[in-house]
Amino acid sequence: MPANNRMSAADRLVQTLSAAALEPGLGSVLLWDAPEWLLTGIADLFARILSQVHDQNVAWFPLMSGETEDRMWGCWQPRSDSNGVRLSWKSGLLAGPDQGKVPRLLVLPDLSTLEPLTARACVEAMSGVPPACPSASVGMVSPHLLDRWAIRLAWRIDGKDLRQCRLSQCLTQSETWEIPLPTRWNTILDQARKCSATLDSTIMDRLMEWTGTEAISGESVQGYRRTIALARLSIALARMQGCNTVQKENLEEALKLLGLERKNTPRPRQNSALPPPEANPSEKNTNKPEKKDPSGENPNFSEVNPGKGNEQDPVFSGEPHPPETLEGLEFCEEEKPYPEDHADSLRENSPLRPLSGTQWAEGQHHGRPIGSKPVQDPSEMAIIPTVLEAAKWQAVPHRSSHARVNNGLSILFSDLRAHRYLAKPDHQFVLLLDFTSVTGRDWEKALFPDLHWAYVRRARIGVVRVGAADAAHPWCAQRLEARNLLDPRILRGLQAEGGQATPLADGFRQVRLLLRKAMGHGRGAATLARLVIITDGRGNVPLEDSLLNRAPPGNVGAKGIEDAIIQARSLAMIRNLQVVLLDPQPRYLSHLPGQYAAILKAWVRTIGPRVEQESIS
Amino acid sequence: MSNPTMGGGSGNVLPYHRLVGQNAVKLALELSYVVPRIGGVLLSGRRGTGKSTAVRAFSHAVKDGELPVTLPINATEDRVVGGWDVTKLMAGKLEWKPGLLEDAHGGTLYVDEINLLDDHIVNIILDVASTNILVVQREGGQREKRNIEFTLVGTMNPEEGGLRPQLLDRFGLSVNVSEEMDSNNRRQILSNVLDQDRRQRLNETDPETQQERKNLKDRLDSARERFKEMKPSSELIGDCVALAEAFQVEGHRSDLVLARAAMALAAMEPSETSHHAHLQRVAPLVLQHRRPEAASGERLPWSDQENEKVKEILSHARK
Repeated sequence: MPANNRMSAADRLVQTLSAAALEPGLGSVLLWDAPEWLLTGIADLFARILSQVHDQNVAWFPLMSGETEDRMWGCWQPRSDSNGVRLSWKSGLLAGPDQGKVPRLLVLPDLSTLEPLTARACVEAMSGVPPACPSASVGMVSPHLLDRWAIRLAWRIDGKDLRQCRLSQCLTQSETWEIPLPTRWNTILDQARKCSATLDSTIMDRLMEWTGTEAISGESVQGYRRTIALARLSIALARMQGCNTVQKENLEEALKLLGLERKNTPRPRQNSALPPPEANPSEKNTNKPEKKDPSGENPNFSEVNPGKGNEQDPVFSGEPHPPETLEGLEFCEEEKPYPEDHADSLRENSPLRPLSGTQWAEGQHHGRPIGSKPVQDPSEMAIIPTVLEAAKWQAVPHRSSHARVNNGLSILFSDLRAHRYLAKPDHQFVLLLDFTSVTGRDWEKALFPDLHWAYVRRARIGVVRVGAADAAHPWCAQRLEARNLLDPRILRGLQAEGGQATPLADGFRQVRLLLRKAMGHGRGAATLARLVIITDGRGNVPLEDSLLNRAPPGNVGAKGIEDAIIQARSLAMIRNLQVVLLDPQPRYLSHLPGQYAAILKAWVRTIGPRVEQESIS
Repeated sequence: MSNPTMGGGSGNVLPYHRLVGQNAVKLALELSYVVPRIGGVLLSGRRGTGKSTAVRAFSHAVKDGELPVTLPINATEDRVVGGWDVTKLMAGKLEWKPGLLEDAHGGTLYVDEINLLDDHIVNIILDVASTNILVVQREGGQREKRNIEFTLVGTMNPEEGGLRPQLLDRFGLSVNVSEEMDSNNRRQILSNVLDQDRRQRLNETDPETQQERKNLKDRLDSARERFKEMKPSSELIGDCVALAEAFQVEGHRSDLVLARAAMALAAMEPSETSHHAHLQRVAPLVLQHRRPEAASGERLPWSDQENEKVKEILSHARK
């Protein structure tokens, strides 16, 4: 990898985080595809830069996808002292007494897996949150949420170099991995803090050229945030260079950092963190301070000034370790800096709205506890919330009249509390798809009402693939499971040609295992399932061969079908299971689908032949 | 030291007079301030269109630099209506801690992302906003009836789901916020935001802000006083009913809000102009979220044809 590229990436990182720290409106950075181990290093670096800019210690906190309300906002906690156990309020990550006074850095390891509670909290309480998001999952994240992040960095990790470096540093130097902040950045940040920059009309004109273009606004204009972020970033870059007015180079650099640089815009050759070449002093901004640092050198980038002829010098060349530390870190040249504008929507409608308890099996204890509520039924009492509730009232006079056991806690009925659970869907949808039976049949159209059923109920999804030509083990069925229909793996799993083998018996066996797990395990078990079977019933792999993952030896005869029927019978005993059989109307053994339907007491719908587009036209 | 508030936090509020465009938003906020019983304002628009900015700026202007009381999205019923003070409770004292509704008395209660809030909390807020009365009865104690008056403003991005029609109807006024498409206005918006950033960084005050704030408050407070003296004419009442019928609006709330909003506008602009002109301006704010299409989740913008329809109905009424 060319040294210049490598340093550009490292430089871009420090430069961008510094800009985000300097301009309050830029205090949110989104990293695409950053692995968790790198994210922690970057969060630590960002915290140090924030500490430097705000002149006070800034710590960072991870905000995981399944955070509880208590941890986010605060809760009463028991505390023991000489007077016994007392309750004291513990502030959450998002709501402390110092909120708004001390910057706090929150880190979200994966934006695409945030639960509605956490996502809503982020929308409401954005304050310096660098999250990571897999770019492939961008369609799963609410654009309303993504739009809050002013700066996005696209990463491509050149695997082992950086990882090896991190491991080496952890083993030889300290247990924690730290991305060093080059010391000269202290000078740059100190200078930038004292500096203020404005946009003159020329730069404003250039900036406005970008407003409304597809590059910055997507297919349609999307509010003002992106333009404002671009302007603020330009200002921050100017401040880092000690300029009082934003220069053309600052805007171009900001465009580059945001991935907005036009293809036809000539790229400046200097390193991204570097000031413009000083070849012609008369062209320099007259507003730029002429200050020199006490050492007599220009504090800005003196080691790497391209005007001095070392255009290819790495940014961190003056430091003993940094170049190696970020070796392997490379930026993607994103064609689309705002991928959410173009991504297929893989999210649910209203993804920031949690399911309501009334909509989904009220009273069922599905999700994890997220709070407490007064009990309706004493059998659902939760001990800790009850004790905490009772503790609040102990000193109230009317309590003293109640008998207490060994001077313990007085608990009245009104104190009893039950957990409030995160509502989760309690439906399961399972599709058994025999790819060898649907050639030339329009099975997608026939399946649509059932997919609609699954979507509307936010059902969990299981797909059992039988006879797919792309199967790694053709003698076995493959099982896919996903949280809902919008998981991209499901769509991919439905796209295959039919192969030679039809391990239908194994398919039914896998359906049984899947349903047993979905409907019988844990408190989140589904209460209703729908199984859709698409097959002509002509299995040709006995179950034993599937279990041994081997090609059937010799002529199997009807063994594959007999095994499949036996396995199908076992499904008929599952309660609360709706079965739908989509009959592809095979030319041979056309009675078989009906036989399976009878065993499973299934509704039968037929699948018509596929009508090609050409024939329609 | 730099201001530590990040993410464009509460310390960085754009002055109200520096808002560019957004005339319907401004009108709705001002009407609701003059007559809080209009029942609140719902600002619905896509991300980044300046909804929250406008609300904060307005509250900052009319409440002497204070930000609106903001309802957190995780607000519990206790926090909204009030409850026993837990700290005092543990010391053996029963002391009531007022909720956010009481905190907002005399000012603005702002509910960002109102479509993400639990429906029962929204119901409570809307009840108080439209009746100005808060009664709390819980945990063995009844609080005396309290009169509470605030301007309710909710914002939402419809991409994240809508409000049920029953809740929509309870908002007096609604504005579909869209962004300025005019490049000069967009330029001015950017310039104003960056100016404000700079002032915040340098801890400067905008010399015009204080005077503009006073002018606005004087104008709106005078309108409030004038409104108290106003009586609705029978023609106004007839026109409000005619409009509501023509737009097939269910219930009577729209008639009432139309009349109050038209009177509030008349109080703000104490001229001799006919109430028809006032109705023409407030009709979109009152009727657009109550049209039958809204019940099916459609978010159709208020069209020129509908403006013409209002004009036609009012001209017939005149005859």
